[in-house]
Amino acid sequence: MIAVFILRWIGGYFDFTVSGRFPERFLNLAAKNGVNIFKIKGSGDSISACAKISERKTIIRLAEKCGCSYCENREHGMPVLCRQYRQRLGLLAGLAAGSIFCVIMSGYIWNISINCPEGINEYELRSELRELGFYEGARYEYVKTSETEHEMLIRDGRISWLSINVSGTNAAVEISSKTEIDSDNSREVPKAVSNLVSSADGKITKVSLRSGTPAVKAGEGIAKGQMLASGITELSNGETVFSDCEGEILAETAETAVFFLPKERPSVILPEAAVCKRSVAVFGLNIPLSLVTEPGSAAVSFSDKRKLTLFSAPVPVFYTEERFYEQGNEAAVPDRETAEALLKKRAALYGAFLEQERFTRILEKKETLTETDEGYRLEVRYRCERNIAEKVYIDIRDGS
Amino acid sequence: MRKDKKDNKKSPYGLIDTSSSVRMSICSNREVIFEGSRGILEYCDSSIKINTGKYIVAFTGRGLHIKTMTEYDICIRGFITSIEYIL
Repeated sequence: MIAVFILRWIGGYFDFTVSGRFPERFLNLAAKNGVNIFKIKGSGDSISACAKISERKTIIRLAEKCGCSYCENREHGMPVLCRQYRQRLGLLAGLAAGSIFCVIMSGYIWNISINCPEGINEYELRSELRELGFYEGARYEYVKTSETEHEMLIRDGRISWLSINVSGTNAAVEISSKTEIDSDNSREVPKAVSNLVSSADGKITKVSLRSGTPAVKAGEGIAKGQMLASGITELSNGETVFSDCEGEILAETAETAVFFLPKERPSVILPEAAVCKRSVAVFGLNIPLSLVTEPGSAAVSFSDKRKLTLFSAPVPVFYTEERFYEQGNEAAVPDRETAEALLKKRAALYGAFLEQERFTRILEKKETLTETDEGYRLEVRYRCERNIAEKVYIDIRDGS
Repeated sequence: MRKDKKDNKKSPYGLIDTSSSVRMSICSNREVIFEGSRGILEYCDSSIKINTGKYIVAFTGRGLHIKTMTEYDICIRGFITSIEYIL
C-alpha cells in the first residue's frame, strides 16, 4: 500500500469533483477508458475522486461527455513540489551541496571502537594505530586493514590476535591479548626439592618441621638468609634423599615502622579555582568553545571526552571538557596531641595488619614521637614472634 | 426454460462454468473486492448498486466508498450491513 502511495506521489495526482444528474456514468466511462481513479467518494449528485495528472485531459473529456460539471480541487505529488520550488535555486544548490558532502564524508572513517582486553591501554593502542594511518578521519581508500593488522601484531607483543572490521564509516577493532604462561609451571625443574631459609634476623623460639632436616635449634640466633632446614638428607648408608621442606620455624624478631605526618602537604585547590576548557571536534577539526589560557605545569588536569550519538549511532563529533586544578601547598599544622593521636591510629592499623596478614604475634612495642620542622615522626619498635621460614627451591637437574 | 439452460452452462465434466460469472471476496463486513462488474448504477455513501449483466448486486451500509476501480473490478470499503441480489 505504501509502495502504491509512493508511486502515485512520484507521478503526481489531483483531486476533482464531478457533479451532475448521473455521476455514476462518469465512473463507468472512466473505467471503460482505462482511466485509473481512486479515493472515490460519493455524496448525493457529486463524486469526488483522485487521478493521475497525466489523465486530466481524458477526465475532462469524459465529464463533458456524460453531461457532468467538472471541478478540479488540488494537485499533489512531486511534480507539484518541483514546480513550486523551481525558482528557488538556493534550495537546489543546498541539496546538491548536501549530497556531495555526504558522498565525500562517507569515504572517511569517523568512528573507531576498540574492544580492549585487560592489560592493554586503549590510548596507547589508538596512538599506535594512528602511526600506521588508521585513525578517526582517515580516508578509507588509504587504510590497509590487513597490513595494519599484521604490523600491529609485530609491534605490540601483548596482542595475540587483532581484527579490523570496517562497516560504512564505522570501524571496530577486536583484540585478543596473549595469555602469559606461568614460568614456574613451564619449568622442568622438579619443585619437590627445597630448603628453608630465614627471612629475617632473630632468635629461634620453636622449630616444627613436617619434612626436611633441621639446621637450627630453639634458642639459637639466626641471620637473614641463613639456612634453617635442608631438603637434602644424607643417610648413614651413603644414600642421599631429596625432600620438599615443609614446616614452621618461629623466631623473635625486631621490626621498626616509621609514621610521618607533614606540617605542610601538597593538595589540590578546590574546584571553584579550576579552569575549564571546552572544545568540540567536528570531523577532525577542533573548535574551542571557551577562550581560557592553560595554567602552568604545576596544574593537574582532568579531561572528559564524550562522543555524540544520534539515534544510538555514533556521530564523528566529540565534546571535550578539560579541567585544570592548580596544585599548591596547603598549610596543615596540627598540634602535637592531634598529630600523636593520628599517628598512633596509623600504628595501630599497621599492628593489626601485621597480626592478620603476616600471622605475627606482637610481644612488645615501643613508640617514640619526635617533632621536626617538616612534621611529626612516630617510630614504633616491635618485638614480635613470627614464622621466618622461606622456601627456596633447589635445581638438581645437573646433579648439583 | 431455454434461458435457464443457457445460464447453467455445464462443462463436459458436469461442473458449472464460472469463467463469466461474478466473484466477490468479502473481508468481514468492511471490504468487498467485486469482480465481473458491467457498471455502477448507483453510488452514494449508504448504497452502491453494481450491474453484472444478469442481475444487480446492491450493497447497503454506512460510509461506503469505492477505493479503486477498473473496467471489471471494484474495491468497496465501508461498514456493509447487507448484500442484496436484484434479479
